[in-house]
Amino acid sequence: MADSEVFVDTGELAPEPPPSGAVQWIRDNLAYSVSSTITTIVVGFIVFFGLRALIAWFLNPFRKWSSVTANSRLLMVQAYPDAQFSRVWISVGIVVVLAGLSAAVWRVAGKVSVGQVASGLLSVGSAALVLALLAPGEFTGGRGILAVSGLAIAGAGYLWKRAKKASINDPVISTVALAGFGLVLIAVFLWTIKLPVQEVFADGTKEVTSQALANSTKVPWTILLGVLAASYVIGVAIRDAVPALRRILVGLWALSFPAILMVVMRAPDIKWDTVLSLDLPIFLVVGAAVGAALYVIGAPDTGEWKFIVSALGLVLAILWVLFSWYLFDPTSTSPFHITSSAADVLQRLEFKFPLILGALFALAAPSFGGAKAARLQFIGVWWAALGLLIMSFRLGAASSLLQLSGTAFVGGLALTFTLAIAGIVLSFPLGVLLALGRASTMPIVRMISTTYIELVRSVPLITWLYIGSNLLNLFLAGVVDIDSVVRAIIAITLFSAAYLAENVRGGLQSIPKGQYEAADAVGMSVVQKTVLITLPQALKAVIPALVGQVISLFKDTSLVSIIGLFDLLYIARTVVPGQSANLGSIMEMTVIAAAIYWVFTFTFSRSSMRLERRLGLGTR
Amino acid sequence: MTTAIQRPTRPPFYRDVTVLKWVFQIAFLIGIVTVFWLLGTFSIANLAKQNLAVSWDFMARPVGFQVAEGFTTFPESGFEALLVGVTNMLRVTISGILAATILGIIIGVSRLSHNWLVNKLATVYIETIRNIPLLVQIVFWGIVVSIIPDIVVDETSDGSLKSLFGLRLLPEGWIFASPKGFALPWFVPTDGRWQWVGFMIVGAVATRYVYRWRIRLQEAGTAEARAFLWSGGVLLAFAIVGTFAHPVMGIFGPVFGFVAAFFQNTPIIIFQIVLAGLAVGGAYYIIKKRLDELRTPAGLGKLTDDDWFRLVMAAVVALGLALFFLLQSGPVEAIVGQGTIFGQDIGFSQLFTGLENRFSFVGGAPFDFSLPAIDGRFNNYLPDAGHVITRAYFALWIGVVLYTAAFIGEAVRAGVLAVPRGQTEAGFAVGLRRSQLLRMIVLPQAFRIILPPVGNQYLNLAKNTSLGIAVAYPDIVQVGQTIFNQTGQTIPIVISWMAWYSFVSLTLSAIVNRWNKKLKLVER
Repeated sequence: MADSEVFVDTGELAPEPPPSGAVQWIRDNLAYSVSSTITTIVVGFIVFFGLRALIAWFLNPFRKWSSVTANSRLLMVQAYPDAQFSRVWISVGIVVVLAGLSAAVWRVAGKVSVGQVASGLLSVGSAALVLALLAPGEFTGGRGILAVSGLAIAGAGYLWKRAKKASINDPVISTVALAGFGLVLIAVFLWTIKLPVQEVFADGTKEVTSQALANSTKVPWTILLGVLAASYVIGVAIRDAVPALRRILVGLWALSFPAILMVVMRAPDIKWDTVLSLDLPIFLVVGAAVGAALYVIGAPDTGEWKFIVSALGLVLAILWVLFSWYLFDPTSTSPFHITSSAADVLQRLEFKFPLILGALFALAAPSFGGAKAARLQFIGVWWAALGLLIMSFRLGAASSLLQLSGTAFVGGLALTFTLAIAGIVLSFPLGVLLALGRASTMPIVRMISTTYIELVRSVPLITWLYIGSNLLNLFLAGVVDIDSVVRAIIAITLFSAAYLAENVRGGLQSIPKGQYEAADAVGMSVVQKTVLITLPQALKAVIPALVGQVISLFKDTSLVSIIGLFDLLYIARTVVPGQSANLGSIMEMTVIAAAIYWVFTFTFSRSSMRLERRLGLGTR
Repeated sequence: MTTAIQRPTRPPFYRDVTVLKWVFQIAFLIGIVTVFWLLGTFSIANLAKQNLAVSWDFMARPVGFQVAEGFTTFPESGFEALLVGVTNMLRVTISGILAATILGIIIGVSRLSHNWLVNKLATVYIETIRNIPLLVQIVFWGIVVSIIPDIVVDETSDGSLKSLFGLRLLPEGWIFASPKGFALPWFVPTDGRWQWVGFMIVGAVATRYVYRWRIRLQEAGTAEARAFLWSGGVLLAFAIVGTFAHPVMGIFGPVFGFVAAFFQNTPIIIFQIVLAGLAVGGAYYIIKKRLDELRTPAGLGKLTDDDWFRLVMAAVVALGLALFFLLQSGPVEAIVGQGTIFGQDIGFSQLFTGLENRFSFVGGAPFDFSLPAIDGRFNNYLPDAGHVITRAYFALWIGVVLYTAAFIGEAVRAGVLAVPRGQTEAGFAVGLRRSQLLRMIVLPQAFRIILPPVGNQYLNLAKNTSLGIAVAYPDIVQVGQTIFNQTGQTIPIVISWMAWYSFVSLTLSAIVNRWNKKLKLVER
C-alpha cells in the first residue's frame, strides 16, 4: 500500500525506557524525593476523594439521566417535524460520505503496533476498574457494569501484551482496521446496550423501562456507519484514478454547508416557473453581456479607457441600487420600499446585485486578464459567481415547505453548528478585507479598519449579540424583518471578522519583504500582488490560528442562549428542565451539554494539532 | 559635467496612484458615512413611530428597580445604577485576575512537574476546562451553589457550615453556605480606612526606594542584599504602624479642601484656556516628534501623502478640541466640578471634597473584624456582617478564574519551555540549586515571554465577566439591559457599554504594554 510513505507517529524519537517494573516506575515518577513523595500523597488523596465523589454522583440512582435519553432529539435538532425527519438523516449522510471520502483521499490511515493497542486497552480498562472500585455503594447497576467491563478490557489488554512479548517481532496493524472494528462495535452496542428510560403516562404515573441505546434511531445510525465505511472504501478505490479528487472534495465541503442549510434542512418552496421566467433570463443575459465585456476589457492591448468604463459602471450600478427608489419613486422613503419580509427584498434586488458584481469583475479584469486562456478562465469564474449569487437569492427568497413552530428551522446542536460555521464562513471575506485595510497605505481606509477592529475586539460578544437583537431591528424596522437567528449570525459575523482580521494581519506581517519587492519588480498591480502573492502566503501561515478561532467561535455560540435562541445550551438548561417529567434535571442536562461541547472542541483541537504538524512537515 | 536629469512626465490623473488612492478613499468615506446616515435616519424614524427619541434623560432620573448587589442596591438614578454595574464588574475582574494568575502559575508549573500524578492532573484540568464553553461552566457553578443544602450543610443547623466530608473546619457561625451563596468572617472597613490607605501609599513609595537601595547594594557586589525581604519588611512595618498612626494623615485633609475650593472657585475660563492649551501643546509635541523621526541627516525626509495626512489630522483634531473647550463651557464645568453631567454632581472639586471629609483625623482601627450573620426576617445573610459572596458572584468568579487559569497555565508552560536549555545547564554548572535556578535564571527570562499572552488573557477575563448575566450578576451589561427594557433607550445604553469596555481594554493593554516595554531586552 502507498500508506508506507506517510509519516506515522510511532514515538520513534522518544523510545520507551527499558522495562523496569512497577516499583521502579513509582520511584522514578512519584517518589523521587521527599517533597515529591509528600506531594504525591496529598494530591493522591485529593484525586481519590474527587474521583469518588464524581463517580458517586454519576451513578447515583436519583440522577435523572432519563431526561437526556428522552430528549436527545430535542438536544440535536430541536422540534424538527417528524414527517420530514429524513432530511436530518440526509444532512448527516452528506457529511458522513464526505468525511469517509476525505479520510481516504488525505490518507489518514496509519499503523500502530499491537503492543500500543494492548497498552491502550490495558490503561482504559484499568481506569474503568479503578473508577468502579472507588465508587461507594454496592456492586450493582452502573457500577457493576463498569467494574466487569473494565476488568474484561484490562484483562484482554494484559493478555495480548503478554502474548506479544512472547513473540519476537512487533507486528503492526492498520488504524483503519481498528477504526472499522470500532464501527462494528458501536453498531453492535446500538442494538444491544439497554438504558433505563422513564415514561410518563396520561394519569401521571411514571414507569422506567429499559430501551436500547438510541432506541428510535438505531436503524439510521447503523446505515450511516455502513455508509461511512463504504465511502472510505470507495475513496481508497478511486483516489489514485482521479488526481483532482482533493480539489473536488474541498469544493464539495464548501458547498455542503449552504446546501444542507438552504436546500436539505429548509426545504425551500422553489417555484420553477419563476426560475425559468426570471432567474434563467437574468443569468443568461447579464452573464453573456458582462462576459463579453470582460473578454474585451481583459485583453492586454485595450487602452486606458477600460478603467474609466469599468469604474463608471461600478459607480452607476451602486447608485442605481441605492437610489433607484428615489429616482423612480420619490414618494417612497426607503431604498427597498416598505416590505414585510427578507424574501421580498431579495426578490427586488435580484437584478441589481448581479450588476454590481459584474462591475467589480470588470474592474478586476485588467489584473486577471491577458492571454486568451486566462481571460476565458476569468469569464468562467464570473459565470460561476453569478450563478451562485442568483441561486442564493432564489433559495433565500423562497419560502420554506416545513411547518415549524418557531421562526428558525434548526435548533439544538444543529443551530450551534450553523451559527459557528456561518459565522466563520461569512466573516472570512470581511476579515481579510479588514486586515488588508489595516495594513494598507491608505490612511483613511486604515483608520476606519483599525477603529472597527479595535472597537469590536474591546467589547464583549454578548453586547454585540444584544446590539444585533435590539438595534438591528431598530435600524431596519419597516425595511426588512430579519429573523432572530439571522440577526445573531450577523452579530457573530461582524464580531468574528475583527478577530479574523487580526489573525490575517499576523500572516501578512510574516511575509518577507522580498516577496513584495519581487512582485513589484515583475510589474504586478496592487490587486495582482495582493491576490496572487500576499494573500495565499499569509492565509497559509495563519491556518492554525484560524482553526483556533473556529474552536473559540464554536464555544462562543453558547452565548446566543442568553438572547433566547434555542441552541444546545438553552435547550439543555431551560427547555428540558422545564418539562414536567424532567423537573430537577438541570444539573444532569448542563453536564451533558458540557460533555457534548467538550467532545467536539477536543476533537477539533486535536485535529488542528495534527494539521499544524502536517503543515510544518510540508514546509520544512 | 552635470547631465540634465530627465524628469518623468506625470502620468494622466486616472493612472496617478496618489490621485486614485485619494479618490478611492474619499469615495469609501462617503460610502461609510452614507450607510451610517441611512441607519441613523431609519432608527430615528422608527423610534418616532414608538413615540421615543434618543435621550440621555434616564441617567439623571430615578430608576424603578433594585440591583441585586453592589455599593448600593437602590440606585437613585440611571447613572448610579450603571455605576453599580461598573463597580461590580471591576470587583470580579480585579479579584479574578489575582486568583487566576496564582492558580494559572500553579497549573503551569504543575504541567512541567516531574511528578506523574501532578503532571497528569494539571493536563486533565487544562483539557477539560479549555474545551467547555465558559458560559456552560458559569451556569454549572450557579447550579452547584443552588443545590448546596443537599451536599454539605448539616440539616439541624441554621445554615452554618460546620463540616465538609466529616472534617470539622471552623468554630460554629464562621462560615455559612446556602443556595444564596456564602458568608465568611471578614475585615469590615471603618471610617479610618481612607487615612490608612493614604498611609500605605506613602509606605509603598518608601518600599520602592528601599528596594532600589538594596538592589544597588546587590549590584555593587558587597553582599547578599535580600531586597525582597527588606522591602517586604518595610511595607509590613508601615501597615502595622499605620493601624495606629493613620490619623496623622489627617493633615492632608485641609490640603484636599484647598484643592477642592480651587476647582470650585477659579473662573471657568481659566480651565478652558488650560485645556485648549493642552490640546494644542499635545498636537505640537506629536507633530514635532513625528517630524524628528522623519528627519534625515541632510534635512527633512520626503513626506509621503500618508505622513501629511497624519500631521494634518493631528493638527485638525487638536484645533477642534481646543475650539470645543473654548466655546463649550459645559463639559469643562462638569470636569472641574462646577456643573453637572447627566444630572450628577461629579468632578474634581467633588472628588477632593470627598477626600477632605475622609482625611479628618478619625481615630481607631481601619478595619473591624466581623462575623457573618443571618437576617431571620428575609432568610438571607445580613449584608453588612462579615463578607457575603452571593451565588451569582461566586458562580461568575469561579467560572472566569478556572477558565482563565487554564489559559494562563498554558502560557506559563510555553514561556518556561521557551527558555533555552543552555541556560538551565549553565545554571546547574555554576552550582545553583533547582529552586535557585528557577528563581534567578529561568523565571525572569520566561516572564518576558509569558507577559504578552497573559495580558491578553486578563483582557479576555475582563470581557468575560459580562457573561455574569447568565446567573443574573448585576454588572454593567445586566444593569444596562434592565434599563433599556424599561426605558427603550437602546442606543445610549449601547454607547455606554462601548465606552466602558473600550476604556477597560485600553487601560489594561496600556498597563501590559508598559510592563512589556520595561522588560524588553535592550537590543543593539
